[in-house]
This record gives sequence, C-alpha cells and structure tokens, in this order.
Amino acid sequence: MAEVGQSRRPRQAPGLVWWSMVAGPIAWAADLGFSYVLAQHACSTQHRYVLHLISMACFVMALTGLAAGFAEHRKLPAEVTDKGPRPFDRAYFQVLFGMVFSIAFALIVVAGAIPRWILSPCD
Amino acid sequence: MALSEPIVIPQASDLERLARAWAQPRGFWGWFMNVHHTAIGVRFMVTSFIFLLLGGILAALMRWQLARPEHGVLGPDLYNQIFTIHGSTMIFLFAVPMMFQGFGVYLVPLLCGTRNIAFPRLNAFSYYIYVVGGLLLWVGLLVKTGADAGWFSYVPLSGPEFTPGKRSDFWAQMITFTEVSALGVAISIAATILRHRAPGMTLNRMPVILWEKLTVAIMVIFAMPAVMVVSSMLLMDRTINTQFFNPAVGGDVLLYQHLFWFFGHPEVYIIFLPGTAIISTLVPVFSRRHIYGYIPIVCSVVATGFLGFGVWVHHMFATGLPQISESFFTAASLMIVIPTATQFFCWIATIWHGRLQLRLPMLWVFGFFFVFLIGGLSGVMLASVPVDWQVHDSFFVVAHFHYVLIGGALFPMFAGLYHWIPKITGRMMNEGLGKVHFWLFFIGFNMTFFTMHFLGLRGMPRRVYTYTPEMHWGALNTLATTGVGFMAAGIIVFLVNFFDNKASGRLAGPNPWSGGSLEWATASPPPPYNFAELPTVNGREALWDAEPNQPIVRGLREDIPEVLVTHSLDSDPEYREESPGPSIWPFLTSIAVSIAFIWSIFSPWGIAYGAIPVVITLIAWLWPRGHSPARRELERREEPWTR
Repeated sequence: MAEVGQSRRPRQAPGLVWWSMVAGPIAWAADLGFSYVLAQHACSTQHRYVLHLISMACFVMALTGLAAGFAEHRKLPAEVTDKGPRPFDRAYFQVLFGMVFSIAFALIVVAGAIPRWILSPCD
Repeated sequence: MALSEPIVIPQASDLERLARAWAQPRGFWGWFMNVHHTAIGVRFMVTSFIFLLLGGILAALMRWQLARPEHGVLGPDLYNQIFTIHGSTMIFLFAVPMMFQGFGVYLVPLLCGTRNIAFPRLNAFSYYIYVVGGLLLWVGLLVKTGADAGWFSYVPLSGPEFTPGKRSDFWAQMITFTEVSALGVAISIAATILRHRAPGMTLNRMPVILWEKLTVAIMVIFAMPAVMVVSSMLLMDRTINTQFFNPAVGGDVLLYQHLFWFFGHPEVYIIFLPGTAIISTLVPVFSRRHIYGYIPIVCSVVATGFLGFGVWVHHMFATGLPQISESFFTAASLMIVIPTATQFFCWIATIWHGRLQLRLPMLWVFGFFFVFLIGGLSGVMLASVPVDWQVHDSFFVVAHFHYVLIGGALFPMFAGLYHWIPKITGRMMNEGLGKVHFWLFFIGFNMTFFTMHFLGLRGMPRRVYTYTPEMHWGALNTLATTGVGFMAAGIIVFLVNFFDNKASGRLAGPNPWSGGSLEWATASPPPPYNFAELPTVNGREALWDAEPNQPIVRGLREDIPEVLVTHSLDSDPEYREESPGPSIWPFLTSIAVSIAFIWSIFSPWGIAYGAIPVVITLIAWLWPRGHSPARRELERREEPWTR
C-alpha cells in the first residue's frame, strides 16, 4: 500500500525556500514601482544614475532568491524527486520553482533596464 | 479518521445516508437555498452563457449598422449604449463569470477530491449578487438608461458634466455587484484549493488547472478592489459631488485610468488563464500522456499572474506620460510573452510526444492555438509605443483584443464545454454537430475580426456609428458583418446540439475521455456528495497514476455533510469539518445588499438605511444554530430531499 501523509519532514529552512520563490517577483515589482515613481525626478535633475542603481539593486535582490534556492537545494536528500509525496519532494519542487523564478525575473529586470542605457528617454 | 488499505465498496445504506446528508431542498424556495457547488457552478455557466448570447445580439446589431456606409439601423445615442453594454456584458457578465466562476466553482472541488467548495454559502451569495448586477445593466438599457461611455467609462466623459442622468451610475454599480461576486468566489476557490485537496495531492502534484485557478483567485483578490474603488469614486463624483476626477479643484483624470487599468490588464489574464487551464487539462487527455514541462508551465502561470499587474500603463501610452515611464511598461509588456510562449511550447511538445486523438474538444484547442497566436502577435506590436500611437482607438485594436479574448476565452470555453458537459449532464454531445459548430464559428470569427486589422490600418476609428462612402471602408465592413452570420449559425448549432444532448445524447459513463484527473473518478453527473469514498492521490494525474490498491479516506460522518481539511502544502489530513448546509439567508442577504447598492444610485442615504437589512440578514446568516438548520427544519416537515 502506498503511504500517504506519512513522511519525513524536510530539513529546509522554510523562510529561505519561500524567499527563493518570491524574491524575483518582489525585485521586479520594486524595480518597476520605484523606477516609475522616480523617473520624472531623475530626468528633471539629470540624476539618471538613480534609475540604474535601482535596477542593479533589484537585480541583486532577484539573485538572492537564486542563491537561497540553490543553498536549500543542496540540503535535499539524494532520493528526492519533484513528483513524490514527501515533504522534501515538495520542498524540492519549491526550490526548483524558486530558482527558475529568480533567474527569469532577474532577466526581466535587466530587460527593463536596457532601454535606459541605450536610449535617451528623458529627451 | 484513517486512511484504510483496501478499496471498500460502500454499502447501499451508507450511500443512502450520505445522499440524505448532502441532499439539497427542491421546490421553488429550495432552488434559492441550494448551496452545493455543482448547482451554483452550473448556474454561473448557464447565466453567463445567456449574457454571452445577449452580448452577441448587440454585437450583431452593431455590425449590421456598420455593414454599409451611412446605414440607418441605429442612431448615435443607441449605438453608444449598445457598444458600452456589449463590452461590459462580455467582460463583466460573461468572460469572468464563465471562465473563472462557472468552471471554477463546478470543477475545483471535484478536481480536489472533496465533497463541496469551501464557504458554500458565500459562493451562493456570489451567484445571486452577480445576477442582480447583470440585470441592473440590462434593465438600464431597456428603459433607455443604458450606460454609454464605453466599457471602461473614462472620465470626464462618464462624469457628471458630460453624462448627466443615471446612465453611468448604473454601470458603476454593476461593477460593484459583479466584483463583489468575483471576490466571494475567489476566496471560496482559493480556500478549497489550499485546504481541501485530497491526501497525496501535495503542492508539487496539483494538476495544472488547480495552479491556474489558485493564481487567478489571488489575482482577483488583488485586482478587483481597484475597479470597485474607482467605480465607487466615480459614483460619488456623480451623486454627492466629490471631486476625485475634477482637475479644476485638484482632482486627477488620469487617476481613473491608472486605477481602472490596474484592474483592467490583470483582468485580461483573469480571463485568459482559465482558458489556458482548460488547454493544459485537455492536451494531456487527448495526447494520452502526462503534460510535458509541468514545472515550466506552473512557473509560467504564476509568472503571468505577477507580470499581469505590471503592464497596465500600456493602455495609457497615448495619454502623454513621460517616455521613460512608458519604456518600463513596454519592456514588461514584451516580457509577458515569454511565459505564454513557454506554455505554447509545452502543449506542442505534449502533443508531439503523445498519441493525439483529434476528438471534438481538441478541434477547439487547435482553434485556440491559431486564433490566440494571431492575437498575441498583434499584442507584441501594440506593446511598442510608436505602433500603439499609430493605431490607437482604431479597429486594429478592436481586432487585437477580440483575437485575444475570444481566442483566450471563447475557444477554450467551447473546448471545455464539449469536454465537461458529459460530466455535467451525463450525456455525450454529438461530434458531427460539434464539428459543424466549430467550422462555422472559426470561419466566421476570422472573417469578422481579421478584416478589422485592415480597417484599423486604413484609419477607421472604433466607436463610430457610421462613416461616409468616400472613406472606402464599406466592402471590408460588409465582409466583417457577413462573418457574424457564420458565428451566429455556429452558436445556433451548438444550442441545438446541447438540447439534443439533454434529450437523447448517448450516456457518457463516469470517464468517457479516459481522463486522469479526479472529476472523472465519480459518476456523471456527480452524486450530491461528489465521492462515495474520498480519494487519495499518487501522482499528478490521479487516475492514471493510481495504484491497484490506492487508499481511500475513511472516518467522515455520513449523517451530516462533512469535508476533510488537509495541510495546505503537503495535503496531510488535519481535521474534518461540517460543510454549511442549505440556507435561504445568502439569497436574502444578496437581496438586501442589492437594495442598498441600487438605492445608493438615487440617494446617498441608500447606503445608510440600506445597511440595516444587510446587517439583519447577515446576523441571521451567521447565527450559530448547530447542524444544518435548514436541513433539520425540512426534515421535520418531511419534505422530500433530492439534489
């Protein structure tokens, strides 16, 4: 008989697992929100570096999600599978999800920042 | 409560007690007391389909008017009302209630392997409040008070200065009704998915459709308040002379657009994601294999949910926002293509590596691929600011969003209906008639809306009730109108097929498509208790991955309606809980709330005085009475119970 609900608890730190899942979207939302709010100020004062700093900070924030996911991934037992019923299988799924998400949103932050480097949008 | 080893065939007496515990009252008042998710889900679907037909009739009238230059079928005032009511009906009364509420309420508890939705009375309340909202909008049209400022009712056009009378007030309160309804259902669906999944259906084994329903439910919870706030602000500007949107005294017209589109663009994904949920469910069933790329698809769905909130400004590119600000939203709008494309590639890979069965639902899936791809490509064009400026408010935009919304909602809806109607009614639809329906609709749709791209590029603006012969738009408009005839014929064929299915369709059996998800583990139509024995799950496709001796859940009481509450991440059984039984109070509360909302259109005191019956009905609704008071009352009167 298959065991259901009888399982080993994962050794993962739940906070880091969840951070790996949400760091990317939070970083992207922060980049979009702060850049949008500060755009007029940056253009009017010619302090456009502020927008670049925001993007860089948010890019790093998204990568912390990748780092957290990778760190938690290393703690998983060898027999882990992304389809299994055990809590560490679920944690494996979460960190995979988190790492993919962090990379994807880091790239989206970069994609949003590129126009600011190559165009002159304040003109 | 325990998870027993062997499969136990339930005794007839057990089933009888279970059926009695879960039965809903019948008769006139019984209809209003029913809180079971299958009944409410079907009501959402039927009602929203009726609104689809009504909205379609308005579309046909508009096309008739535009079929040739200087046509005199509709005057400008009636035309304004008709395009406003058409758009509002399709978005607020059809697309979301059908794709999210209808399919979600009916399917989510079955997919989770539970016996009812969480908060079933809130769910029933949400249905009634939605119906009143729809009636309000349509009664307004019938009494020549139809909203006429477009489906997004921009200020200052919809404000007190340019739209005197009650037209925009009816529209604003319709928004409140329908969004309260969507919020109620979103809470019910999210709670069901998080707390009522069958044991074994851990987070990493949830069917893709449940991921999409959960994502959309959370999007609704965050997006809908924005439009409720902005429609209430509009109502206050119009009724009690506030000045939120009056720049002369410090108000801000653009604030309306920001708030509206902060809801409005996520709304596109609230409509589209349930469509992709249907596609992600059907493609594996008819390819006879598990979905390819489960994790990328789940990531794409959730990413779309996030990104959908960061693209709203692309609806406002022509409002004069700073270019640097527009660039942020151009980037986000282009990026959102990636998760959608990821899903497309995963579906194609699933079909490629599977054994395709080209049954009727798959025909609609392929229709979706074609139509939505065209809509997506024109969307990429519109995400670019220079292109957007050139075609802004032209028929090119009309063509684009019909390709996206009909492609993303109507084609998957028909795929889903042909797939699940056998579950709902217990009878199969006729495949031959279904194919006639598909080809008529597919040809008609492309004839109508592909043509509109060229009309837009030739400069025809949207929302004009006529045009002169010198514009040379007549031939293309005639072609577009002809397509409507094909679509209407297709819909008639569908209705004939549906009523023929009800009368004499072939019996479907529990699992006519050999599907792998849990809704196919029970009879068609499902009994009042959904599952005689609550199932457990051993993989992402519960039935395909089940072991020969797959455990079942034992220990829930059969004399009262109980559901199993499980851990939100690992779906371990935690405790059992009584599901609220039939009650008239959700219906009466919806009436009280409706009186307050409608009264407030005519007098602000409507909110104050109208709150009194709302509070009374809420107290009665929430008053602790022990087990299922309505059930005890009806049993005492020895009325027959059936679902």
